[in-house]
Amino acid sequence: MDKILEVRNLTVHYYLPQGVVRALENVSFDLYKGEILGVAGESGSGKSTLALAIMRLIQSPGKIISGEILFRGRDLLKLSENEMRRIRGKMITMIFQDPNSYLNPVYQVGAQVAEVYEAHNGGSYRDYLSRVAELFKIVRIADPQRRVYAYPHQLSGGMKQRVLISMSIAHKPDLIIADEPTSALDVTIQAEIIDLLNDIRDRYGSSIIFISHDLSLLLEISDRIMIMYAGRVAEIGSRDEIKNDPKHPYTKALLRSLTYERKSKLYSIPGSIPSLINPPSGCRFAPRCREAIDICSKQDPPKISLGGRVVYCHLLRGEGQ
Amino acid sequence: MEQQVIDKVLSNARKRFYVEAWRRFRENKLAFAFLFILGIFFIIAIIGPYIAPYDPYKINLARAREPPSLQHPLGTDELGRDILSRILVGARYTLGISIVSVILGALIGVFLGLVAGFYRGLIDNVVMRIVDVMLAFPAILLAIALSTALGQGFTSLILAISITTFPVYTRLTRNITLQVVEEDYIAAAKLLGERSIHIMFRHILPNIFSIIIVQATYYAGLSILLVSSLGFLGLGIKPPTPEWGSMISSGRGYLLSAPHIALIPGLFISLTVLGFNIVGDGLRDALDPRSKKIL
Amino acid sequence: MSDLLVAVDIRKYFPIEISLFKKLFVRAVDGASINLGEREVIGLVGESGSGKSTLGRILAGLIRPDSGSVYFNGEEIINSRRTIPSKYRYAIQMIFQNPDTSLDPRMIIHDILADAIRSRSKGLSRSEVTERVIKLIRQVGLREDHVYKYPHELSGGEKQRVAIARALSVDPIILIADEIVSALDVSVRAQILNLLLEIVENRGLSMIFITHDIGLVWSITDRVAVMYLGKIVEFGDTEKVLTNPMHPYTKMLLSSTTSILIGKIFKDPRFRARGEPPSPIDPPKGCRFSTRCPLVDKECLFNEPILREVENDHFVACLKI
Repeated sequence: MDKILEVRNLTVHYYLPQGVVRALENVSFDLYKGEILGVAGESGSGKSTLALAIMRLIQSPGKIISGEILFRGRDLLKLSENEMRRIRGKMITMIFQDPNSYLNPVYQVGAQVAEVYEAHNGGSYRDYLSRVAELFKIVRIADPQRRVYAYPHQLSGGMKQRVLISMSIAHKPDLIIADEPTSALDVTIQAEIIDLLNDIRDRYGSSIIFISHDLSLLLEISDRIMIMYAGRVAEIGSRDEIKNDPKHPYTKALLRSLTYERKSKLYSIPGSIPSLINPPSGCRFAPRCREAIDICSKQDPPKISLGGRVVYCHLLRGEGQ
Repeated sequence: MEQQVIDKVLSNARKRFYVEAWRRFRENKLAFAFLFILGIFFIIAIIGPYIAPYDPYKINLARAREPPSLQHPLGTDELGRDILSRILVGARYTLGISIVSVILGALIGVFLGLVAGFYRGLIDNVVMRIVDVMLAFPAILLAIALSTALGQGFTSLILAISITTFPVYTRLTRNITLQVVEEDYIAAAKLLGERSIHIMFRHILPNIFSIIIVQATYYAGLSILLVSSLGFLGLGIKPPTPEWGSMISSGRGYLLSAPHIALIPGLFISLTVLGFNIVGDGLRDALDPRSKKIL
Repeated sequence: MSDLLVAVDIRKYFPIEISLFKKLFVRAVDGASINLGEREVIGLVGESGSGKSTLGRILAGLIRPDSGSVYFNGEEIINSRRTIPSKYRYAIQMIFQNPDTSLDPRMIIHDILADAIRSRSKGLSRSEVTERVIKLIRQVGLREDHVYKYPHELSGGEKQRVAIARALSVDPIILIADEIVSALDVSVRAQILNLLLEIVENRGLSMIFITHDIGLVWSITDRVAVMYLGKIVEFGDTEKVLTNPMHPYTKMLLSSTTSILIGKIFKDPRFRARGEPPSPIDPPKGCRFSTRCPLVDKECLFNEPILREVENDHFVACLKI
């Protein structure tokens, strides 16, 4: 399988008056062609920062301190802004959580989608409206021809999200980064959007990085899943591996908190997410970890590779390499 | 804990909102400075007649239209009266009348707005239509009409200005009340069986208070302009009463030869109105720090 | 017995004026009947536009229905002409979804609770009231010093605890919880719910739990009512409804959920979500679900189904069963 994206030791800091926020630290992972990689993490895990970093959209006070992002062999961090602009929106696209913030209420949605063509191919947006209608058909918007001329307020939440998705597939991208694309939607609409993304993956062979705080959702749609905690990677594995044989204590706790049993108490992970300005030394999950041992709070956890899996945990020392 | 101690802690906690707002206000140097200036003007309004160096009504044609000097720090007017004394005494007319009108207008306006917004339906329609009609007239026109109709005297003037200004409070209060009434904590109050009047005064009023106060300070500025304009036009307060607006009017004919006669009261009016506006801004920022500054 | 609170054929339409002559109605609740027994937790589940919140508010006595009645212990307490008489005011209390707007921002916590306590028990001295306030605040897991704070000084979870305390302060018999954890961080939800359930259990209360989360329904409810576009389409014992749903919408809802439920929950990819829900302003004639139902036929377009018992404690409104 081809690798479409290789991220190596990515570190991103934010320089705030209160201190330095270590948003991402030494994040490494691979993404293969045509695969859906789920990125799971609660707030403060750094998942959104990761999305912005790959798109090279990190702005002051944020800064990419070190690392490589190899997209089709080229390091995105070394490209000029012009070269990056040719990639953004065309080869790497993004879908956001709240379509309301990303659709201009005073313009018809067709015109807004056509702008994507305009930006990369020149001309006026009117030249592309028929292509937009085609896109709307692909993303399963009912009555696509008419909806090209609709205004955002005339569309439901699910439809608006489909409009955003159509923008992101306009140029048949290699990589789509979806940052919580369904969090604001009803569960049945969410299911449809998930099916749509699967469809797009099959149709265009695009890889998708699907970011969500809802691990149970990722277990449904992802091929592989990366679990993040407090700016670091905790574990990476296939969907089945994560679901049936989680290795990292955080993954286990997360799964437990998402499991509902008839007439029994709900589980929540004790403690709270650490501040990223002054993160605990050693493993950042150690203060809340039931299985923590002495070394966990002293040394950063090592990377343990088990076949295709990766786990960052002291407890697995000795297994794998 | 002892009940007395708890009572103290509770009352401190209840005041904390205003204590912190005051602290935020103080940090705004400009607003605080103008508050200080306005404070001084108010003191003058009260003690003016007692500290005036000369009799503000005493005519002395021999020393008419004199520019500021050591003897007359602000000069004399067209009838030789000491301008400083007239300013000091006139403060109570200009400021006093506007403040009373503002308060009266606010009381009427807020009450009507609360009732309209809370009960809605017919009351809301009737009140708002009246308000719409009144707001269709420029304030000064309304003030002139009312002043003429109500005749001479301070009470008529206060009434005229209160009536001119209450509609804005009503509209503002009613609109915010409509929003506040939808909030869950009002629903919770209803669930607890709280009566409507209680809800209005215990829950709605404190939550709109900040907005009303800010509006009132801006309106104080407008009030002053209205009083002065009426005075300037010969309505409202008539000469020889040293109301600042009518002082400008009397000094109009001497703008080239003795500009200080009109300009000095004009300066004081401007300073007061400016002061109210800046203090109003400061209050708004202090009471609702979430409202971000664009500049 | 399930007759503590009985609602019969509740309807509530909200008018929308299209023009001076044309008035349309949002049919928020369109003929819903439900009954709640002692010491029972009923889930009211549905997506946006289902009418569950409106029904909740009608049952709490906040909104008057356009038609239908609500009976408390056999006595009619709510109908279209009047709402709850004062002696029953305290029996039913509600906890709202948004912690930021359910507490008066200008009052300190102590006074918010004191007001509630005083509204039921007149003539208490100041120290008695304060004593009760502190006792109440401890019951919801907060410390005494929380009562001297303003709502904006508390976190979302803490505010919800205060909201629970307020609801309990008047010794209610029935609690209506309207999406009380939807606005909270995932990590905090379990704590709040566990607290609420413990209190409900200890005090022997009944609860109507409004939610869109099937996982929570499975975990904490005895019976569940499924709402779609203002109507209750399925109702009954939770285990029966979730393991053996009869209504196509319930099947669609369960097949679209990603939550991990322990047990034989219904899941069938053939019932995966499709189509957009119609607008509640202009619902289709006949069965509301006809536009998205895999079982739809001619009969469904003309006749409205009514709830009927298909097995013990399991009611469904569908013509195709």
